[in-house]
Formats: sequence, C-alpha cells, structure tokens
Amino acid sequence: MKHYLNLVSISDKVHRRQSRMTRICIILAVFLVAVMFGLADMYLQSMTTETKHQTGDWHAKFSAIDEETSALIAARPETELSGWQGTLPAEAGVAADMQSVALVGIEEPVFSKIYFGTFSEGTAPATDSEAAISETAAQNLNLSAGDSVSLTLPDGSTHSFTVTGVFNDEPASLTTGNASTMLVTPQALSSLNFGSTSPSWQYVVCFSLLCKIPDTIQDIITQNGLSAEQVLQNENLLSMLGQLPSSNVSQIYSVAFALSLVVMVTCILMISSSLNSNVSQRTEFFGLMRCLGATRRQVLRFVRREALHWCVTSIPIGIGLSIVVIWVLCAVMRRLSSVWFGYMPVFGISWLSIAVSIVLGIVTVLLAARSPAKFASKVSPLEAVTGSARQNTTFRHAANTHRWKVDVALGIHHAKAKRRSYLLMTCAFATCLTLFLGFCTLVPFMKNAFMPKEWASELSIVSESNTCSIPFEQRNAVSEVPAVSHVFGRMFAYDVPAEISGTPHNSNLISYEENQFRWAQDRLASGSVDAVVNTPGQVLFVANTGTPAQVGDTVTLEINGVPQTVTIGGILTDDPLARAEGTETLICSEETFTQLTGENGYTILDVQFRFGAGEEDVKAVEALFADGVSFTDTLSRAQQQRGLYYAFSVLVYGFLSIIVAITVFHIMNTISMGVSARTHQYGAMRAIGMSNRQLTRMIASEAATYATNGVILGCLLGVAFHWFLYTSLITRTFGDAWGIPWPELCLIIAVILGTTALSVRGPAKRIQAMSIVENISAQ
Amino acid sequence: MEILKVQQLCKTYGSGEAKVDALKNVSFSLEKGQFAAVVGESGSGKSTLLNCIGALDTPTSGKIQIDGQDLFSMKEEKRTIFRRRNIGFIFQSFQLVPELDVEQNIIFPLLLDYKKPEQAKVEEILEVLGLTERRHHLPSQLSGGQQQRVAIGRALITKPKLILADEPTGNLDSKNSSEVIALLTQAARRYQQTILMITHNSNLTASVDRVFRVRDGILKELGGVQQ
Repeated sequence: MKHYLNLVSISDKVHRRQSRMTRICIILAVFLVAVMFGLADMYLQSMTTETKHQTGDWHAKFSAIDEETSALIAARPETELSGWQGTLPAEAGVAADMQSVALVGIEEPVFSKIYFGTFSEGTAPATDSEAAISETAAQNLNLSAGDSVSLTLPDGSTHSFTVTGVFNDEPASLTTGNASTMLVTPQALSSLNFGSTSPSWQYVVCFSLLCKIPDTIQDIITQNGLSAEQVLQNENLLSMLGQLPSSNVSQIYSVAFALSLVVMVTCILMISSSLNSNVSQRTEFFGLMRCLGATRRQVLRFVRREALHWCVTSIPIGIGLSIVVIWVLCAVMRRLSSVWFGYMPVFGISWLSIAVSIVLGIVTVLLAARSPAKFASKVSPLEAVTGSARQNTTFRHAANTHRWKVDVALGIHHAKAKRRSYLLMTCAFATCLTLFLGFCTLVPFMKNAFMPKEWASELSIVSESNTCSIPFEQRNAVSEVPAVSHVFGRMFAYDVPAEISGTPHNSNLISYEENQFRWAQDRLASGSVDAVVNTPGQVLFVANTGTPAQVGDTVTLEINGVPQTVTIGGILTDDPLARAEGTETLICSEETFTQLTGENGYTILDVQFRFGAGEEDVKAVEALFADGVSFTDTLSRAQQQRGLYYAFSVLVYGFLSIIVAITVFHIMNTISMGVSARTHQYGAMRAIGMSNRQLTRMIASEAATYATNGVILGCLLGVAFHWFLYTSLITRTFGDAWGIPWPELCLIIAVILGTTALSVRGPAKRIQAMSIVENISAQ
Repeated sequence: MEILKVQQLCKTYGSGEAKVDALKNVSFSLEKGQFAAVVGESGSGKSTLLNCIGALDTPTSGKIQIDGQDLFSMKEEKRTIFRRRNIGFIFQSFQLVPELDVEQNIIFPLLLDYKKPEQAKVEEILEVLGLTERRHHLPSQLSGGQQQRVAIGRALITKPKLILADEPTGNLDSKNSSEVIALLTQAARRYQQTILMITHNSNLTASVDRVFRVRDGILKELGGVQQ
C-alpha cells in the first residue's frame, strides 16, 4: 500500500456486501441512461439509413458548374467522395433493343457508395462501349452480363454496348426514378448525341461528417460565385445527421436527456441513501481515520474515491447490460413493425450512449456521494475512541408503546425517527409511484394514436349500387373463411324522407348487428340500446345535427312511398356513420330494417381478420364475390399500425418495468441497509428477550411505515399527475374522459407492498442466523 | 435452592491450528440469593462464560441448568421467552433502547411479553434506583451512571431467577461504580436475586458472596468473601 487511498480497494473487499446495493444502484443508473440514449441513437441511425436509401447518401449536388469548379470541390479536405452524375429520363426517347430505358452516367465509386449500387452479376462499365443494366431492364430486355445491347437515340442513330453487369433496382430509382435504367460511364453519356434533349449533369458530393456541412456548402458557394439555384442540399439527410438547426436529432436527444435527468434524480436519491447508510455504519472507522491523523479533506476524498471505485466495475456492467437490452429491443421492434423500424441496426453499438452514460454515471455518483462524504468528514475522532457514535442517535420523543405493541411501536419509530431520511424515503416511494402512473398515460395515448379502433374494418365489401345487394348468405360464407375473425354487415337506406317532431328531414336508415350496437353503447346519451335491439319498430337517433328529438318521439319514414312510423328508443351523441351533412341518421336492428324496407341483403360487409392473416386471406374472401361489389383492403395498414403500437408498447412497458425495478431495488436497499445499521441494537433487544417473530414484526413495521406513507403520498401526487397528463394528452386530442387508473394503481401498490413484505424476510433471516453475541458485536 | 448449575462447559472457537479453547470443562453452581463475581484478565473467557450462561452464545459441550431447566434442550423461541422471563442482563455499555424513555426501557421485557406492568412495582424500582424524576427522559438525556441504573431496573423488573452483569461498572467513574455495586448488592439482599457479575476490578468483589477466577478458560473458586 503506497497511498492512504489504496485502502479503498481493501475496504471494498471487506465491505462487499454492504456496498452491493450501492453498486446495483450505479449499474441501474448507467443502464437506464445508456438504454435511453442507445435507443434514441439506434432510432436515429435507422432513420438515417432509411433516409439514405430514400434519397441516396449525398449531401449536396452542384449543377451548371465547370470542370475546374468540380476539381476545386473534389480537392477540399471536407469532401469525402464526389463525382459527376448525368441522367436522361426514359421519356427522352432512348431505347435499348426497342424498349425505352433511362440512362445514367456515373462513376463506379459514386454509384456503389452513394446510391448503394451492387451487382448481382458482372461489374460496372469501365469503358465508353460498356454498360450495366438494372435488374428490371435485364428482365425486360432478357439480357445478362456479356450480352450486347443496341441503344437507339432520338435521332435514330444506334450505338452498341457490351453489358458488363446487372445491378439492383435501388440506384436506378434513386438516380433516374425509373427501375429500367442503363448505367454507362460519364464520358460515354457525354459523348452521345441526344439532340434537343441533353442529359442533366450534376456534381454529387458527400462530405466528411466531422465538418459542419452547411458551412462548407456555403463556403463553396461563396468561393466559386455560385447561385443558390445551382446547389441542391439533401436536407432530409442533413437533418437526420444533426447538421441543420432544429433537426430531428436535437429533438430526440432532448427527450432522451430529459428522461435521463428524471432517472438521474431518482438514482441520486437511491445512491445517496444507500451511501448514507453505508457511511453511517462505518462511523467508527472514519473516526479512527481522523484519530490517526486524517484531515477532513482526506476523509472526504476517501469517500468520493470509494464511490468512484464502485464505478470501475458498475459502469461496464451497466453498459454491457444496456447493449444487450438495446439489441433485444431493436430486434423486437424490427419484428413488430418492419415498416417503421425495418432499418433498426441488428447489433448496433451506440458510442454516444456509452459516452453519455459514463459521464452521467460518474456525475450521478459524485453528486450522490456529496452528502455522505460530508457526513463522514464531520465524524469526530472521539466517536472512534468511545464507540459512542451509535449511542449518540438522538430522538426527540419516545416510541408510542401505549398505542402499539412494543415491537410495532419500535418499528414505526425507527422509520419516523430521522425526519429527513423519513421524508426522503416517503418521497422516493411516492416518486416511483408517480412516475409509474405518469408513464402509464402513454399506453392509452398510443392505443388511441396507433391502434385501429375496435370496429375498424380490414376489408370492406361495398355494394357498387349502394343498395342492399349483398345476399345475407354471403355474410355467413365470409365468416366461414378460417382467417376471418368477425364479419359485420350493415343495410343502408339512403335519403329516406322523415318527419321528426312534425318537421320534414332527409335521413339515412342503417341497420346494426349486436357488436355494432355494443360499440354504440359508449355514445348513448339517453334511452336504451337494448330496447332498440329487442323491440321491433324502435330506432336510435344520432343527435349530431342539432335536430331536437327525445326518447319516445315518433318518426314517420316514407319508404317506397309508404309512410311508416318508428319510435326513438335511444339518442346517440355521435356515430362514425353519421357524416352526411344535412341528413339525419337513424339506426335500427336488422329485423326492424327488413320490416320497414322489405330488404334483407347487406350494403356493406366489414371484415376483420385473425392475427397473422395475410393478403392471400384477403384474396380468399374477395374470391367469394363474383361482381357487383367493390373492395377496400386496409389489412396491411392495420397490421402496420398494430405493429407500431406493439413496438411502442414494448418500449413503454420496458420503461415502466424499469421504474418498477427501481422501486423494488430502492425498497429492498433501504430495508436491508436500515437493518444492517441497527444490527447491534437488534442484538441487544434479542438478548433482553425479543423473539425472532417480534424482530421480524419490528422490521416489517418499519418497512410498512415507509411503504404506507409513500403509497398514500404517491397516490395523491400520482393520480393528480396522471389526470394532468391524461387530460393534456388524451382528453384534449381524442376526447376520452379521464378516470382513476385503478388497474395500474392497484398493480403498482401491490408491487410496492409485495416487495416491502418480501424485502423484510431476507434481512430478518440474516439477523436471526447470527448469534446474539455476533449481533451485539456488529459494527 | 440451586438456581444455576453449570456442568463440564466447554467452548471452542475455530479449528485446526486456529483452534482456541475459550472455556475448558467449567462446572459450578449458584444458590438462590447468592451474589457471585467472576474475575479474570482480558481474554481469559469471562465474557464467553457469561454469554453461554445467558444463552446468547451456544456452548460446544456441557450443560447449563437454570432453576432445573436445561437451556439448550429448548427450542429457540422457547429459550428466548425463558431468557426474557428468567434471566436479567446488565451490560458494560448499558444497551438501552434509545427510542424508549426510562420507564419504557425498564418495563421493556414485560412489553415484549405483551404484559401490562404492575405500576406499584415500577414505582418501587424507579424509587430504589433514584430515577423517578427522570422516568420520561430518553437514554441520550441521561448520564452513564443513570443509564446503568436503568439497565439494572430492566434486569430487575421481571424478578428473574438470575441476573448476569457483564462489567457493569466498566464505563463508569468510581462514584457511579460504587453506587451500581451497592444497588446490585441491595437487589441480591432485598429481592433474593441470584447475581453473577463479571469484573476485572478486584476491589468490586468486596461485597459479593463468592468469587471465581477464570484463567485460560479454566474456572476456579477463590472462596467466599462475606455472607
């Protein structure tokens, strides 16, 4: 040992168990920050990759510049890759073997690196008499590498090229916008005579990401006297790369940073609390250090170094865990919603998240160590000599043994004795509960935003004549298709003259079946849906037009020239089908509809499919209909929306699980630390005659005091926070009314109380496993 | 009447080369109302002997009977309750419950039994110990001597068969030490309490009935000082 701070590693080995919870807290803090930044980074990486594939990996295109200017741009240190690109659309009248093709003249490095050109066979053209063709062109022209192709120009002249390779369609679409494209060298393209239509030439540049690209572009413009029209910036890509002000990058990282701050504050509370317990258990040790001549500053430095020492192992573990979790989450998101997250990296490493988590982890630990370090430095040398530190605990009043049994009274008193720590603990419990309830609002928000509604159709089969022309039996036939989960039929009678309260109106009469009536129940303002379902001649009236109507009013409908009277059995506030302006909407049962109109066929059949259904199942349903109907297929969109909802749900529930994990760790940590700190006192109580059962009850009372008060405070704050977020996010946007989130509230309360109960067991067993003499002699 | 009977008591720590025989075949007994002292140098095994008799530690072999009952044939829960009702402890560092006031600390063993203390008895003990005025004070508001008197009161409240005192004057000045010894002697005489006290101060053995010396784990009786 060469330095007094070397004692840190020795002390760490001795106090490994006591410092375990502190290390877990640090791991958790680093893990959370790394996961949040990592996911943000992965999302941006995927968005960047997607943008590159949508636009090409170029940053600027310069048009109408000379060779000298292009050479100057190429020679700049910021330029990573550049080259000429000439394009001629298929409409220019160029034909290869009598079929029109688009032409692109581009150098191989630009083609492969900027436009992701890859050759399924052969290579890129190297000479003026060589050309490569896209896969679509190869298929259309029936060509392969080594064949010869004849290019006919608008003036009728022909040029022969040797096909050197076949490339993917992606660069063809990116350069010419046509899948059927022929690639030649820029020199070959410029040597051809296209008459009045000449190719469009641009100098494509990809800059180094280390430079400020917009500034570089501006510098090129200024130095070469270019006009703004001569420069085209890839703004989508630059925005994703964070090169433009108010880009997506800064927004996404701001969210990650804000969430990290919340996590940091929670973790600072946790680490500080466990460090406090850890330090207060070693008061005599710090007193001894002071006795032997350590200055306050040295003790302060010792505690800080100790905290940093834990970082050495905890930070890499936290980062390692975060990398694995990010990989899993990316894989899950890719699987759940390939449309939105298809470009998520498979085994991506986010260096940014690693750097940020290291920095924030160390800052968190140093901030958390401040107060315990100060406490340790203030320990007087006398406390080591007399061993009086633990005796010096001062209480303002005695435990209430009149109201409670002595073991319970002592437990409650232990919890409440130190007001500051009691307040901190209660607040920590309440914060966890509040955070949980707050984040819970994201689930209904996402459900409203992404998830198709319960009644959303995935395939609509509509009568082309808008009449009840779809036979009733067809509905049964559709429902018998194995992939179909629900079929909802509706009969429509349009523009039915109706007399409501003596006033003539135009109306639409629609039939519902039982499921649609069930969904309508939520919008019922008065009356009864069941009465309309079960009583022929009753209808639901949609009161969204301002027409006065009440339950019990009669409506006279003129159908096929015959007046028929129905009674309003219920009033709906709104209905998705009541969208025709100036037209009243009346909804009735199928039985009533048939009675009134004599029709028993459907106008629309809405089909919902089972999980995992595909386009072949849609085709199977469509095949059941010969003609006279049109189809609206929204299955893939609904599946994408569901996938997006599930992907976000994974993230939100993941975050909620982490909040629960923080709560669980915090509770276990606190109880365990509290018990460790009082081992000596418990030993004395056991010696006097406290039984193991009483000891457990005492510890449980302490834990229950924290949990109960934390839960009460958390419920008040959490429900208020939930109300605020719910009304701001959901009620305002989607109109859903707020209600107390009982399932979520009960879940988190059960987790807190359950964990509290479980967290008592371990420490109590540990104390009981020790002999009373060991308890009493514990430091 | 024999209150404490210790037979062939052995306590060994560690094994192999690190093996330490803290107690070697210790046997002795105490009659009701006897006040005995165990003296010996630091590390001689005095505290180990007291811890084993008080069932705070488990002996390696041997038998301990208090009022005819074998301590270590009982199950843990029963032994705890037996200890609570039949053995009073007085520690060198008092070991009071800091969250309880003087009166609560004294009646603590009764509270653990969920019994309502006899108020007259509590008043009497507070009076004898001179703590009536301080009955609602917390331990942190008391001097060392007062704290030890509370510990004596706690040991007396259940009228135990045996009181074990481990260096009860170790943390006290000479005046308070004399007072504590006087109180213990008074307890032995007034309440017919059997007391076994450990001390390294030979001067404090002047008022006890029997004196034992422990050296290298072996107990020897030095003879009675006074009856």
